[in-house]
Amino acid sequence: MSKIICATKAAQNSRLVHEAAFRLADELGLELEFLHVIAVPNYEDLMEPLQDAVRAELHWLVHSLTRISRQRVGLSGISPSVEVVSGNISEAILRRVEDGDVEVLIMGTPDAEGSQFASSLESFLLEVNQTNTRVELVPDPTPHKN
Amino acid sequence: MDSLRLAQEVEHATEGLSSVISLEATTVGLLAIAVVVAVVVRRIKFPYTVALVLVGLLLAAFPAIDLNLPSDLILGVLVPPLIFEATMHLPWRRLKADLPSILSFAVGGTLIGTAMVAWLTVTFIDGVSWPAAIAFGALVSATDPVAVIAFFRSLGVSKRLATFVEGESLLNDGVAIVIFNLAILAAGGTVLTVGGALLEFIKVAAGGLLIGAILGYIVSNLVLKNIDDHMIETTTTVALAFGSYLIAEEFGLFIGNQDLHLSGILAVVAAGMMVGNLGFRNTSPTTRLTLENFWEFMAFMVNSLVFLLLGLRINLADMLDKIGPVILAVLAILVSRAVIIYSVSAIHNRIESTRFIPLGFQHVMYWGGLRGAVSLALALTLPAVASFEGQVATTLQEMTFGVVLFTLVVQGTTISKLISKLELAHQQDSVVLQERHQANLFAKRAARRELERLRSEGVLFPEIWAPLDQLYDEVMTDARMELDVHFQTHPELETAMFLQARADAISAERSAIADAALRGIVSDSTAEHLAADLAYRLAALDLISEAYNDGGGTP
Repeated sequence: MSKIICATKAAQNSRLVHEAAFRLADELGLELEFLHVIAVPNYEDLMEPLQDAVRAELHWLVHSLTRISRQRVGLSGISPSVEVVSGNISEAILRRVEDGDVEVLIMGTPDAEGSQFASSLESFLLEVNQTNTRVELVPDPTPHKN
Repeated sequence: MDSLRLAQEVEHATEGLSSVISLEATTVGLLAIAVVVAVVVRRIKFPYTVALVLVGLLLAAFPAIDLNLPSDLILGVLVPPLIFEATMHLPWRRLKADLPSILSFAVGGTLIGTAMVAWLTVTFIDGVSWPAAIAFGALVSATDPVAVIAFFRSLGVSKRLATFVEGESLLNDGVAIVIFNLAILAAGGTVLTVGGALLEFIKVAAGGLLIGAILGYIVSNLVLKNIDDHMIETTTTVALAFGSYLIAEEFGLFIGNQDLHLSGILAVVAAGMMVGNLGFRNTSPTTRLTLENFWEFMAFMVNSLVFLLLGLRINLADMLDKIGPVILAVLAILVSRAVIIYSVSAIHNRIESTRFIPLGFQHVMYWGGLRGAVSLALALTLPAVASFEGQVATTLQEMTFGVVLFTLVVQGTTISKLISKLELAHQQDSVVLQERHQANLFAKRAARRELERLRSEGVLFPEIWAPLDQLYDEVMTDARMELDVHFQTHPELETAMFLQARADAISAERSAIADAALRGIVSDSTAEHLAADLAYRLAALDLISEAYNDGGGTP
């Protein structure tokens, strides 16, 4: 069965993206997976036990925050899975999309000015489109702050 | 003869002992006063550092209290731990993001500020030579971030603004000291051309940074990485903080050139950054926690002493005698600071529009440029400079005390109002609103429990209780919805609350394990193993929180 992947930072302004993902999964009757790419700087350089702890804590975080979103949209019947991966954000998402039978990739618009992912968004979207996966971008409703 | 020598030795030893006891008694007395001040200001919500200075001023009015405060004590003993602790908590990636502008403020700004203040001093104060004026200009250009950063933390001001203020202050301390020393050299008759002075400046500053970076790298990569003992590791960082200062200052001794002194302050800056950014990554979470707690305590204690001593050292009567020059000095630093901040920001914003420095940041950096320990320490050396006329040295010293007092008392007590007026503490407003919603829910829940108790005890008839309970239920549902809407408007609060709750839960797990080990339910080795796992979890949460605060990636 094909699925929806929701790429999430599980942080500020991500609730709308989570809620949209739940609604879409409900509407299309597809499995939902929340994919989080570790954004801790220099993660690969950390000691191994600390890497494991970061991964485990992020799993907790994504799991808990998406449960809150599920509760808000009143779709307790949907049980999403959570994947926490490391590496370059666009490469990690693309790898996941290529590996699985993904019908829709849903994510928010990158929020940090000058971030590598934000600047390469256009080429990333083109690459995802080549895999026949539809991309849904949920806009950020809040203005940028310094 | 022997008995005479013995008597002399005993007398000498007794004198030494009494001076040690006297120093100990003074330190204990000052710490006791600091504790009382800390308790009082916590209740009345007044800036701690400013309160210490004011209490010091009051105590200075008592003739019995006469503290000899050598400059070396402040610069060599009290300042290094403060700088080390501050730089340890300055993330390199944040500093790097705004490094060109921070360096412009710290180096360019200090040079401009020194030149402007020196020119005003020479023009308006009789008998002040150019070297003396430059020395004065440099020492009042060193900003002190301690008082301002404390406000930033309590008000929840943006980390980028905090990095600007802290980064500039830490670097300009070193720059100001180098310029000050060059001016003293020039005053002593050493001929310095502009090019020569610039080369000397680069040598002393870069040399200090290099020494600190090398020592910091060695400690981070050899000791913190390979030795898993938090006592040894913490002791090493203490040696590093003081040692990097000493080695840089006395570097000439190691290479047979006694006249060569590198910047000790900049060495401490580099060493602290190495430990904070590299060493912390190489060490276990337990050691990291110990290091953070130790240095936090050290900074609190030293700050308390510094600001109390600062107040004690200022004599208001002497300062009033020189009120004209003092007012001039205050005006000079206000004007020069305005020129530095607004002109450097304007140039930066024109060149690099992607890292724009907002006007609100500029106002806070301008008004938040307080002067503290470094200015005081350098001013205390002025009377000892043989080439300065006694009267000139005293005048410049009183001018410095006036500047320090004005910035701490006037600017230090109004900076938080400025931050609020500029709405740079908007994050705090949302936190306050969240607290209000939560307190409201808490109160309503307590009221409902009380009604339930009254009903169960038969004091309240069910007919009266039922509608009241229903009403409270509706009010609580509304309150919950309001809190929910608030969280949706400020999702960062929800994440922060989650991370805090998770950290509290892990701490509770650690306490439970320690308790179980004490009661013999689990063996010490099992408890240690589990506690280490949880320490990694806490360290992981710290890293995650930092990453979230910095932004980036997909929302």
